[in-house]
Amino acid sequence: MENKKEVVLEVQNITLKFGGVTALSDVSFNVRNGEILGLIGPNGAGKSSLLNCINRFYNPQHGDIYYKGQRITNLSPYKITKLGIARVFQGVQLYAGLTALDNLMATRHIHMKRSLWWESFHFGPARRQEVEERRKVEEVIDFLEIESIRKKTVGSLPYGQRKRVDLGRALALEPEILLLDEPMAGMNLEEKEDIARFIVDISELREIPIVLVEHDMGVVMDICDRIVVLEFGVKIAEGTPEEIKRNPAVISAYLGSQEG
Amino acid sequence: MTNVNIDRSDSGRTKEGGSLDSIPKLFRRMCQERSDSVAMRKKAFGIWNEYTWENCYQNVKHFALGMVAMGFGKGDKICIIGDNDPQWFWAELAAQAVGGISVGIYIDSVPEEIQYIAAHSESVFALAKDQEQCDKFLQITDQLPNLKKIIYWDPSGMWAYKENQWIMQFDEVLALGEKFDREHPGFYEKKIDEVGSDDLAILSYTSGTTGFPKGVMVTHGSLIWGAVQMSKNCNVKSGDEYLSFVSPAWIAEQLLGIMVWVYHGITVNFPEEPETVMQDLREIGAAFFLFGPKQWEDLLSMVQIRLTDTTLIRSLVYKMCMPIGYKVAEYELARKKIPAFWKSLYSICMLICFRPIRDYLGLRKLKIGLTGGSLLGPDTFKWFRALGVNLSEVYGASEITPVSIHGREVNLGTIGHLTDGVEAQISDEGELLVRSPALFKGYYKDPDTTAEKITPDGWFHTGDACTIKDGRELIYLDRVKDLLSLKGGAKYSATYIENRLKFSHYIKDVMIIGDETREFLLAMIVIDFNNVGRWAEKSRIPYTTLIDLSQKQEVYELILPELARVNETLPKESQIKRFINLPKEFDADEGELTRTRKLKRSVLWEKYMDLIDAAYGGKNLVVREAEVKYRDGRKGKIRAELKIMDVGGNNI
Repeated sequence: MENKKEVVLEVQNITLKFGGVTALSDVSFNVRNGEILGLIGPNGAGKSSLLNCINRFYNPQHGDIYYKGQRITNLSPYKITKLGIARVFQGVQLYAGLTALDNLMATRHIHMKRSLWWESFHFGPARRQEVEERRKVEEVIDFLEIESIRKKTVGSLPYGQRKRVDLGRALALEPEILLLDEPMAGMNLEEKEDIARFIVDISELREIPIVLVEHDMGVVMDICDRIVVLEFGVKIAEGTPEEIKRNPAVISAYLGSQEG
Repeated sequence: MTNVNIDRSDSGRTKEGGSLDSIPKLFRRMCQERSDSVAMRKKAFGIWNEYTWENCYQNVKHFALGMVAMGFGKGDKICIIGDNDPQWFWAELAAQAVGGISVGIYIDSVPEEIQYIAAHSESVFALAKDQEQCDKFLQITDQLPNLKKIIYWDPSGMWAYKENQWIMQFDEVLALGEKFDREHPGFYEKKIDEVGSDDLAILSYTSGTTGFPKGVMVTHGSLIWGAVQMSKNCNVKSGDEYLSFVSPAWIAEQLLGIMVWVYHGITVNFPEEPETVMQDLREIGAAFFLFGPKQWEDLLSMVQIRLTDTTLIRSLVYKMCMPIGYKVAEYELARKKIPAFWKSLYSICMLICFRPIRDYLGLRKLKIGLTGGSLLGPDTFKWFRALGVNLSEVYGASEITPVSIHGREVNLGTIGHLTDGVEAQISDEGELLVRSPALFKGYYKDPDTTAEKITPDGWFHTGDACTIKDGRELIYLDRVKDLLSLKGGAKYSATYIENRLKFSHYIKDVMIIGDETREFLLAMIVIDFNNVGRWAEKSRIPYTTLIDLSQKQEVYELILPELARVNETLPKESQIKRFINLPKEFDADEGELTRTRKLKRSVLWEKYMDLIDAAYGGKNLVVREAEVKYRDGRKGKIRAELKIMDVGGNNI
């Protein structure tokens, strides 16, 4: 049943080299509409590099990436964003001196249509546009339950809340696919539970596919529909969480080393 | 129960005709009088949305008729659980308008608690704010034979329940009601006229410090009487801004938020989220509101924390002004004339220090700040008085509505003077007995307990140990059953000591241990993780979790002087001799606190028996494994080595 869903993102035979180091070697997988795809692997397996290839920070030497049938391998990063591919980076990448609200508003600029001339005078169409953007941002604030920090400067917030604003920034883009790079790193159990719940809600409410890179195996096994496992730049397995748990290659490469 | 005579001449407006002996009648009158002025504000998506009295009237009417259309009738109950929102108030008024009864449930109740209350009250509808609360009801529908529908008002996260036959949206009920109204014009008004002062208005389930919660049956007349007393003492004027924060499941919010609202036509403001209340308070500039001691203490510690981060000059100004504030507050509390010298100094302090602080906290327009639920520490109390904030204790219970309140006459150490028409006496056991025109009708389906609590001639056993000063002022000691004695016979009040200790912003919670078999007092302390954590960061002490931080030798040494300070106020034979920093916080979900954050002593006592024994046995270290329950139902174990430390006499 799951397999019948339409493929949104197609990664075909990607190979990425930095000089003599092969970061990714012949990796292929698909992301289907409405699913949460987990991307796991030991440190240095190439998970973040793979995301960097998708949103075009890196240039893979071989292979192609298709988004909704369109080849995106040669597009520049800002065009990727305009296509609706949003990414939350490892760590926090926000304007530390701005408030949470302003951080979210700033991302909306790609949707704003008025010229600099109109925007300089805060009335008429420009004002209407701003009100409309603010409404959308407030919906994200409500969704992520960050009302209480709306007007606080991001730099003064604890890490867990900053991460939440970061996720909010990606959502404010109204993405059609979301790439999350370790959104729960460094969080305590309760914060992780919250973020996991938001991810599931985003996936089901907005019906957008999510690619999730995460180290916490409990979370990945719980919320992902399918999982792709990388080791030293090679895809060693792909399947449902149940299949991955039983896959001997995965156990020896990843899970096995955790037990010991 | 006597019929309550409604005299509203004291509010400056005289009324003629039409008896106003029930809440829906009062509400209808208020809506007719001021249809287009603002009745409520609710902040949503960052904007204060206004509702006029006419909006409210229509919503209440249609919700009531919607329920009627689904078979709701006289004497039926609706459970309501959720944050303070207009819908909460509307649903209650709607139920009452057609002769029904509302049953408020605290928002953080777990499904088992909700199941008990909903089943015991035979509720036919459940109004639950959002997905989280609906989920709780959905887990227990098979144990609630009377329940027909679960109605929600916050649609976020409800997409998954579209097909669920139990679930219904608030607006759908309104639409049903509108249709019903078209088909049966005049029905609603006729129903309102049928509700009288002696009908039940709410079932208020007590927080259950002991055993199962009991449903207190409160009539329209009692609530109206309570509202009259409150507004008289708080000097409420129509149009005053009120901030609705404490749960309407608690009688205090029933009286202030709902009753004073429909009685006086104040404007009720609902914060956006419980977490935003401090900012929202500032935006509203409320004239009066009620906070529990916890929130008042939070306000104070907010200022204390900001002071540690502020510039030298500002903290200097604060340090210079506060003693002057205390001095003047002292004169005021003693009702002495303030000497001109102090008065002029005070007005300077007001300008450069107190007013900015009050502004920062959102208390600038505050006429009266009420505190209730449990006793506020005297130090917090004095601090607010020094800033010129008119803080007032209010004491009461669901069973008798307000008993005493400070109002304009504040005496430190008391919990206010008796309200008009209330009689009080102290029994031989030291228990406060109260007789009031607003006595409740009994506990729902529990005549035995009712008979235990009310004497044949109408005195209600409060269960509180009090003394009466000058015939009309109450001094609260403790719950009667909680007054404890030590081995030597020395009596002490655990709550009193705990409140004094909680004044320290390093201590979040504390429980005092000691009984007839023990010779001294033991304190089990939960440190305030945020504040102690901040202190540790500044002192360059590395830590990971609460478990780790609480067991640091330095943290023990930080807590020690706090205990010594409180010990100075205690008689020698009942001083704290030892203490332990607990590795986890007290948690209502684990049954360690009631929903109003009171300690459940017997539970805690049993849980920490090994620690207590070790402490009295003279040990200095205990190894302990605690079981923790995660939200998804899994259980885990935490192992910790706990230190026990001696307080000693004056070893600061």
